[in-house]
This record gives sequence, C-alpha cells and structure tokens, in this order.
Amino acid sequence: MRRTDAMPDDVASALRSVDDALASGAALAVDPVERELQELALALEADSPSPAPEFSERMDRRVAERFRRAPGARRARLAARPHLLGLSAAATVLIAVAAIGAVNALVGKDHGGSGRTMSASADTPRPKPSSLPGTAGTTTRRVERSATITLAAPGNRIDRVADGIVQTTDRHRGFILSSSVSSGGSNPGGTFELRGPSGELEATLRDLSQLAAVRARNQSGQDVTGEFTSITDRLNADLVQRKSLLRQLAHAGSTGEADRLRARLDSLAIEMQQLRSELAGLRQRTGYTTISVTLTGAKHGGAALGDIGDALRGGGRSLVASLALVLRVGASVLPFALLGALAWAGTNAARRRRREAVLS
Amino acid sequence: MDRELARIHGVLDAVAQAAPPLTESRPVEDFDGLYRRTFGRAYAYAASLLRDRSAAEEVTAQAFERAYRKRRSFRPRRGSVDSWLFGIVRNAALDELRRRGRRAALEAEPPDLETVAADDLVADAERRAVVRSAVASLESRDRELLALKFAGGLTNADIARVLGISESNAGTRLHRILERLREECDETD
Repeated sequence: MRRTDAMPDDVASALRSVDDALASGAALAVDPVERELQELALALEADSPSPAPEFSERMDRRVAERFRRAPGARRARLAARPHLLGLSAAATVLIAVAAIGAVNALVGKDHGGSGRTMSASADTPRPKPSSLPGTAGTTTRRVERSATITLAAPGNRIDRVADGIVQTTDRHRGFILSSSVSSGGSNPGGTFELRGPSGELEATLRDLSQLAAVRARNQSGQDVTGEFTSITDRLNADLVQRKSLLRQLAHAGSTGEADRLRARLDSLAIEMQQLRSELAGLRQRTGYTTISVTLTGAKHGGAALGDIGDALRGGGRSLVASLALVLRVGASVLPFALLGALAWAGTNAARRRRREAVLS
Repeated sequence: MDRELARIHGVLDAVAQAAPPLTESRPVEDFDGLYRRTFGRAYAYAASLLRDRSAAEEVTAQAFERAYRKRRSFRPRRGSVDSWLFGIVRNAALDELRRRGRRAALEAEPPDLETVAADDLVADAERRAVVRSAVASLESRDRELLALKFAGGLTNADIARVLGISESNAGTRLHRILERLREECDETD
C-alpha cells in the first residue's frame, strides 16, 4: 500500500530549493545549508554520464527503423528463454480448462419452466444420463416415459390450438387416446391424452410448445430394464425347458410318462404365452410415450393481448435464461481468473524482489 | 581531439537536457518525442546504475525497444510516461546486473577513465572528485535514488512510482542522502 503521509516542513523546503536549483541551473538560496544542498545537486547533475555520439546515432537509426528485427529473431529469443515457453504452455492449458468448464456449463443448462424426473425399478441400477428421453436406442436400457404439458390460449383461440394438437400428434406418428375440448362458456379449455413413439417425444413437445403459451411442462421416465430382462430370461429358460420336455416325450417309455410330459408342456405353453404377452406390453410401454396435454383459457381477452402477453412472457424467459447462462459461464471462469490474478501478482512481486536483491 | 570535443559537447548537451521543468505537466506524446526528450537521461541513469558504458548502451537500447513494443500498455492514470519508461530502464538494468553478477562492481568500481579525462577539462574537477567519493560510500539503493533524481531528472513523485514507495518516503530518503553527502563533502573540504 502506498503511503501518503506528508514530509516534515524542513525536508519539503530543502527539496524545493534543490528542485529550484535544478530548474534554474544556479544555487541562489539564502540559507547557507540549502545553498550547499543546491550546489551539491548541481554537481551531481553535472556529473551524470552522457551517451557517446556513436551510440546516439545508432539509437536514432534504430528508433527511425522502429527497432526492426531480423526474421526468426523472436523464435530464437523464445528458444533462449525456455521458461517463456513453459509459461505459454501453462497459460494455454489454463484457458483450455476454463473453456471446457464454460462449455460444460452451457451443455448442462436447464430448460426454464420445465422439469424432468427419472426413476428406476428397485432391482435395477439407475440408468445413465444418456438413457434419458430423447436418446432412446443409443443404449440397451428400457425406459417407460411420460410427459405432461399445460398450454394456455385465449378463449377465442382454443379451437385453433386444439386442432393444432391433433395435427401435431398426426405429424409425429402418434394417436389420440382421449380428448375433451370446451371452447365456449366461461371456462374454455380441454384435455388430451396422446400416445406417440418415444423417439419423437422431444420433437412432439417442442411443436406443442409452439401452439400456445406453455404454463408447465414435465417429463418423467421409469427405468424398466430389470423387469424386461427378467421376463426375457424366464422366457428363454422356458424355451430350453420345452425343448428338453419335447426330447423326453420323443423317448417316453410308457403312456403314463407321455401324458405327464404333455401336461407339463401344456402348462409351460400357458406360462410362455403369458410371458410373451407381458413382454409385448412392456415393449409397447417403452416404445410409446403418453403425453397429457391440458389446454386452459388465458385470463385476458383478445388475441392481440394474448400475443403480446405471450411475447412478454417469452421475452422474460429468454432474459432469465440468458442471465442464467452468463452466471454459469461466470462461475466457471471466475475461479480460473482469480487463480490467474493471484499467480500474476505473486510472480510480479517475486520478480521485483529478485531484481532488487542485486541492490541489497 | 575531435573525439574529446565530441564528448565535451555530449556532456554539455546531457546537462542541458537533463532536467525538464519539474512542474510541467506534459500531454500525451508520440514515441519519437518521448525518445528525444528522455534518451540522454535514460542513458545517464543506466550508466550510473551499471558503471559500465557498453552495458549501459545495451540496456538503454533494450529498454527503448521494449518501451516501443509495449507502448500501448502505458496507462496515464498509473503514473507519468517518464516513470513508466524509467521503470523499464530500471528493470533492464537490474536484470543486466543480475546476469553479470556485478554486485561487487556496484559497490566500488572506479569511474570510466574516459569520463575522468573529459572531466579534467572542467574547472571544478576537484569538487566533483570529492562528491564522487562521497557518492561511492553510499549504499546501492541510495545511489540508485540519486541516479533517478540527478541523472534521470525525475520528479520525486516519479521516483516514488519507479521504486514502488510513497512520495514522502522518496523525498525523505533523498533529503537524508543529500544531507549525508553534504556533511561528508564538508568534512573532506
């Protein structure tokens, strides 16, 4: 910290007289001590070394040429100072790590106003994030998905939005399980129960979100891989057992033994049929997703007002998302920036001490 | 003979340009202007610190080149352009001293013979010899402060900036050194 305390008056006065002498080139103080100081200052100034004319000319030329360097001089200078290369490499690594952190922050950002939940069967490990909705088929996990979305539209647009929901469902190869729409009266709105291919879930929700203002959106997933594996294993075991029973039947030594084997084969066939049915049901549940759409009437009236309200809400959401993004990037970069600033300050202080050690 | 005359002119020129008006506030100038105004003083400071003409020339050239290449990093709010430039000269000179392991030379190296020869022509050579002897007895840090003030022609505020100390500290130290030199010169007289 730089101190700003004042000098004693006599010291300040003596220094002023020294500066006066240097400015005027003469020792004119009345006070004998100050005059001696002035003479001393002039003697010290006059005793300063001066540059040789050859050196002055050489410097004039170099300044006129703007210190032009020979090609490759910079590389040679770096090679002569390997610590500079090390510092450059360290700085590059630091910047790369900060950039990766920032990218992670961007990739991991939440979607405003929406939620996702994922649960797994008790006997199965929790699925990896890559098996979340939208990435079906990339792993062998079996996930049963469902989603809900609440849309709000002005009363006079309810019918148009309802038509849009139907068209969106068709476009994504889905179908409507049930629907109920009320466009008149004091409480316009409706509900839709859709089923669509799980691979189309994200795209379907995105298109539905474009139809009206999104009040709420939620996705959930139930990992049923364990259940699926269990049924498949049991079915395979039954197939093996059936083959074995058929072999035994072919070599049955008596009618009684043959009847007993047939009875076991019959009960096995029933069990296998049941398992196949369960497997088909499970495939149906994981291959298709149920989307519950709730359509509500917006509180305000006219379409224009609705559009403006939607736009304002959309703008607000975008602003919040942008701020969240800035915060995430800042949080990723700030620790590195602080570390860099500390390292810079420490290096500077150490370098200064090392330099000045030569004067001690 | 011509060489000697040139050196005398060099000394007179250096004395003439050593100290610009100390209260003058200079506007932002271009690099050529800065070079013309400070070259002699920067060299004088480097030579006073290094006590070696060729090393001083090398350091001065290096410092001006560095200043030219980093001229955009100069921030007026951090101090004057003179303190910025002399900070660069100082760093280059201290690095040079460290490289050459010239600590002993700083303590007691006789002045250049050529300088002595030129000084013989000056009337107050004897007085200067006394002053030099007194200066030689100072510590390195004190000699550096004198060099910044009288060879570099810096204001006390600029000296404080270059050394990283407060202005009052720089002034107090300078006054103490001058008083000590005055007393030593009086004793010798």
